[in-house]
Amino acid sequence: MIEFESLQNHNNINQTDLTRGLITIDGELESDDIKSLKFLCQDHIAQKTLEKIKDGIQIFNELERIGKIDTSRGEVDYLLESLCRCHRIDLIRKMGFNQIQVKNRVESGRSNFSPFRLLLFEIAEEMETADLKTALFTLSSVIPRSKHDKIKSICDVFIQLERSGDLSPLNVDVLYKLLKMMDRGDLITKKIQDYTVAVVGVGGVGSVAAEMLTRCGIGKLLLFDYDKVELANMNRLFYQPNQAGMSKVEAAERTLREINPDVIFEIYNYNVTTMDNFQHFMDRISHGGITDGKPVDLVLSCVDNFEARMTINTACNELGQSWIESGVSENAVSGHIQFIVPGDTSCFACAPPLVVATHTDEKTLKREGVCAASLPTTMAIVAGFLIQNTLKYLLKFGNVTYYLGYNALKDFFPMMAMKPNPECDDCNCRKQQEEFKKREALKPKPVVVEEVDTAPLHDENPFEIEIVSETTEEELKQAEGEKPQLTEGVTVAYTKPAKSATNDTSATVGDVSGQSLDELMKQMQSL
Amino acid sequence: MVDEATKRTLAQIPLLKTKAGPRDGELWVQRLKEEYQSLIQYVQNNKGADNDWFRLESNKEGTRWFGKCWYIHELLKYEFDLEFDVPVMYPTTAPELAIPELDGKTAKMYRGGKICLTDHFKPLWARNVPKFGIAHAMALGLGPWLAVEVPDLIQKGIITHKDNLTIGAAS
Repeated sequence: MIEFESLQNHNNINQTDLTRGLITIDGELESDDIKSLKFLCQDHIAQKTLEKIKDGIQIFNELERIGKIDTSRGEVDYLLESLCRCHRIDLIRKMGFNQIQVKNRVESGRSNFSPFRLLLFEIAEEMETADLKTALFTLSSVIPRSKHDKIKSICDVFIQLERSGDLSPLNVDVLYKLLKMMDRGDLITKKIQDYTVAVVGVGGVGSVAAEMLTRCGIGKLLLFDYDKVELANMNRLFYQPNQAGMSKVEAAERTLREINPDVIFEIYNYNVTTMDNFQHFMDRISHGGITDGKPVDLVLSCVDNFEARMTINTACNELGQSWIESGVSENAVSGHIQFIVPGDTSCFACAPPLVVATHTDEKTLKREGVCAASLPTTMAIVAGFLIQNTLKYLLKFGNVTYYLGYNALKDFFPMMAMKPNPECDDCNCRKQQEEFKKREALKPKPVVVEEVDTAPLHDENPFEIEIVSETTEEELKQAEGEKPQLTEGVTVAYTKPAKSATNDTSATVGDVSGQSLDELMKQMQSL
Repeated sequence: MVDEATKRTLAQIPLLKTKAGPRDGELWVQRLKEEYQSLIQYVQNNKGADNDWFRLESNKEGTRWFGKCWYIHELLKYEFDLEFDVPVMYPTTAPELAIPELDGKTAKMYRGGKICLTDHFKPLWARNVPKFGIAHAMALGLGPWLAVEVPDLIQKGIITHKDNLTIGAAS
């Protein structure tokens, strides 16, 4: 809204001009346009009112009445977006607005309409009148014959389905069924090829995730990894023994291209955590999208170490890029995915890394002498969660999960959402939080998990035995610092001491301003 | 988590003050100076305690480090080349110390010869950002790793003593 306002101020359009503009375009709107406009406004104007509406002026009046537009204050962005979506850009100019600017705003992704409404609208546009008969036949069990003469278009079909409760943002099954039956399966995945996803780390999780996206028909994939395929990794999925020695990104591209030659690939065989590569990495995230120069739509972190996760976190915070972090524990029996929208949800630096508690002695699970175990099962499950969430986010269906844990030993799946830490170490995270507060956006609702009190083992304590802690409650708190609110079954990998705690026994380095770096380097070498 | 001797060694390594990584321009130079000062002090302490065990130097930007470390086992000296990059996220994330020549010889190592620091060192580092520097990574990360791994590798016959290395030989 704010953006359109500034646009209007710039254009200096007063109320009289605006009213005159509305009357002009009313004369130019055709009945098809009116229908499209009415369908777009479904969520905002009552059905009964909509039925009575016959022309543009009636729509404008109703929008004014419900406060969606306000001609006295020049706020008509709702109408401008509607016209743009109905492909009547010419009318935007006739109203005295800059059509290119409006078009850019609409394409930037922010909208006055719900994703669900836009989805239905786009599908209806793609369908032809011949499809209507097939649709009604397919839906004969849902829409009774008596209603058929009222239905003149696919839009009407959707309206009817919404009324009978068979179609809603949370239930699009009927839509899928309909499109499948009509041989219009292309519309189901219609949008997926417009998206670009960057996969950082194509190991046990990343390679499988990339294959899933490839098979779903993703538009473009960017793959980052500096590792080579090794025979020792053959207990995981995707790579084949004959690829041993090849760089992972190269091997992955070859296999994936064979599976789906339509996908565009960009591969980078380097370590993103080093200075030399980081800037390039940032550049590809912000300009590597399928439309030239646009950012990628989502970054998937499938790396296996803290350093690389922190690096991705920094890049995404700096760029305001949404990403999903994924991980499998070193003992291979738990994993997680975490959807991070900078400023909106907790970033990777907001709290120590979260781990899924497995409620067993984890040390016993590790094979003696080996740092990490790995299971293709856990990795495939995590990759599945990761891509499921990716598809939900990109294609706007269902609920996108903010944190989903997986405990393989108990088949336990903790879920939650976490707000960002206002004192996060990453200054770009704090900056994004400020930005987010300014923006009006939906916040995830934290899942409230009720604590279940376990009954004491012994009710009586005749000898008054009690455990005395060696450290006081306060010392403990001081040492652990502030712990984030977490759902059951999830804990932090480690705690950080509170900031004020400065009982260090060591001295700090002296003043270094007097010494030059060269001198110090020489001194070190001469030791 | 840390034994008394290590605690004492640790207390004598100067802590760092500047929180800056290689992307931070002038502040990084400041941090780099502190790193060097802390390292010099640590090496001098080691020499004083007759426990000299590594040498390090860096490129001009201070982003890439290389040097040698050695370990004495049954009066024989075993020496290894050491290298690591300072990650862009430094000092939030610790440097990943690597001994490339041992790559593939022990399971407690990641690709490229990066030693496994996950359990014994990383949580400690995370709790001490930005006070810990490279000297601390050597003392708490590489030191304990060598002490556990080298004798094991020798015992298994995976590494053998090179004749030209004797105790006291200048390196």
